[in-house]
Amino acid sequence: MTTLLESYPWLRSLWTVWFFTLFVGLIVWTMWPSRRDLWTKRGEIPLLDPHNPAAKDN
Amino acid sequence: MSALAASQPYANRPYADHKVEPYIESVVRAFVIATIFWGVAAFAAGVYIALQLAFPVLNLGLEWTTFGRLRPLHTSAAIFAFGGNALLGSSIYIVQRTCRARLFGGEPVGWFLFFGYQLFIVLAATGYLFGITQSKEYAEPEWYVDLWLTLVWVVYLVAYTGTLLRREEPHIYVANWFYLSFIITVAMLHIVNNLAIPVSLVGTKSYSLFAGVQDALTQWWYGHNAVGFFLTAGFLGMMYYFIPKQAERPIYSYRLSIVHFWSLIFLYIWAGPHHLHYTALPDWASTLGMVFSVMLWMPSWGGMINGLMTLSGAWDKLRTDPALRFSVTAVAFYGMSTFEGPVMSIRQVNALSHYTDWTIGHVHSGALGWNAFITFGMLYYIVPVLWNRQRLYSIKLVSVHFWVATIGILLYITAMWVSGIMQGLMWRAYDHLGFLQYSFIETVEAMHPFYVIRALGGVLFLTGALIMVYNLWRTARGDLRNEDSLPTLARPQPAV
Repeated sequence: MTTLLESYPWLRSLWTVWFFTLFVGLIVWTMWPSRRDLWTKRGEIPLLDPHNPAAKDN
Repeated sequence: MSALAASQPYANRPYADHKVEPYIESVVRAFVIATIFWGVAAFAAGVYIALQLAFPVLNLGLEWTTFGRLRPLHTSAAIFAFGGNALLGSSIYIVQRTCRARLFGGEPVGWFLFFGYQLFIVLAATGYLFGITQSKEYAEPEWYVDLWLTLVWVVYLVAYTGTLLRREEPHIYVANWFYLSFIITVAMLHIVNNLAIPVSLVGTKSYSLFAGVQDALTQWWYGHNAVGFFLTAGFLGMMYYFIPKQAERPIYSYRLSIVHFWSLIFLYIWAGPHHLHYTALPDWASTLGMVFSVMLWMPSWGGMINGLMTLSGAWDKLRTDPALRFSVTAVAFYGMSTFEGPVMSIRQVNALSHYTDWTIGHVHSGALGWNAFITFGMLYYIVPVLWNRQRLYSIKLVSVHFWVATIGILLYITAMWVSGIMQGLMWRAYDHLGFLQYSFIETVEAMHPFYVIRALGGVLFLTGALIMVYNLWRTARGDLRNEDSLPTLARPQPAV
C-alpha cells in the first residue's frame, strides 16, 4: 500500500505523458503522407449518396 | 448524361445504384417539425425575458412568469428542445445515409426516441414553471426527469452504435465520430452531474451527492462540456455532412477533420474550471481550465477553416444559395465565438467579463450565430429532400430570413458587448478615497437602453424564424413560388 501511495505522483505524471504520446501518435498516423489519398476518398462519402432509397420509385 | 447526373458529379458513383433497405425518414420528419416548433418557442421565450429585463412590469407579478423561472425555460428550450431535436433528427438522417444502413431497431426505436425526448422536454419545462429545480445551470430538471432522459439516451446510444455496426460502408464518416462523441460524452456528463438522492420516491426534491466546491467543479465540468459536446461536437457533425452536401463538394481536408476531432476530444473536457476563476476552487485548477481553453482555439479554428475552405472555388454559391449562406455564416460565427471564448477564459479578462452581460452576448453569438444558423441551413436542405419536393417554396424568403436574422444577432451581441463591458467597468470603478463610484442600481439604469436594443435584436431573429416556418410549411405542402428572376440554384435533388 505504501509503495502504491509513493508511486502515485509518478504514475499520475506518466498518465499525462501517455495521453500526450497517444495524441501525437494519432496526429502522425492521420497526417502520414501515404494515407493522403485514402483520406481524400473517404471525404467523398456524403456525396456518394445522391438518392433517397426510401422513395417509392427509386 | 442526365440532368441529375450533370448537376451532381457524384451521381454516377456506386452508391447511386445501390439498393438498401429504406431508411427511416418518418421519424426524421417528426424531429424536423419538433425542431421548428421548439425553436420558435425558445426564441419567443427569449424575446419575452429580454423585454422583462427592459420592462420589469412584464413579470406580471406572478411566480410562474418571473424572469427567474422563465430564463432557464428559455435556455433549455433553445439548447435541449431546439438544439436537441435538431441533433437527434439530423444524426439519424446522417448515420443511415453515410453507413448505408437502416436505423438499428427500426421505426419502433425511432418513435420511442422521438416521443421519449419530447416527454423529457415537457417534464423539464413544467418543472421550471412550477419552481421544481436542482438549481444547476443547464441541469435544472429534478431526479425523475434525469432518470427518464438517461433511459432515452441509452436507447439513442444503442440505436446509433447499432446502426454503425451494421453499416455497409467500410469507413465511418467523420460526422458520425462527432455525433458519437456527443452521445457518449453527454451520457457521462448527465449521469455524473445529476447523481442525487431523492428525499422521497413520491416527491420531486433531491439532494446532490456533491457539496461545496466539488459540487461547483462537477457542475461546470458538466456545464462547459454541455457546450463542448452538445453545442459544439454535435453541431460539427451537422457541419461535416451538410456543408459538403450543400456545396456539392467534399470537405476541404478530410485529414484536417480527423485532427479537428481528436484535438477537441483531448482538450475540451479539461476547460470547465475557467467558469470558476476567483472562487473557492484552487488556483491551479482554474489555471488548468484557462490553459486548455486557450489551446482549444487552434482546433476550433482548424475546423472553421475546413468548413469555410470547402467553398474554395465555389464561392459564387454563397450569392446564389442563401441556405448555404446560413451554413457558412454559422461556421464564421463558430470561429468568432471560439476566439472570444478563450479570450474570456483568461483570468484577467474574466475579472472584467464574469457575471456581466458580455457573457450573455458571447453565449448568444454561439447559440444564434453558430447553432441556430447551422440548423437553419440544415433545415432548408433537408425539408425538400424529406418531403420529396423539387425545391424550397421560396429562395427569396430564405434570403430575407438570412438578413433579418443576421441584423438581429448583430444588434444583440453588440448591445451586450457595450452593456457588459460598461457594467464590468462601473462595478470596479472607485473614487480617490477608495469608495465604489457607482451603486448597483446606477449600473442597471445605464444598461437599460442596451436591454431595449437586445430585445429588438431578438424580435428580428424571431421574425426571421417565423418567415422560415412559413417557407418550410409551403415547401412541405408542395407549393412553388414563381421566382424566375433568380439565378440558377444548386438545390438538393429530390428523389426521382
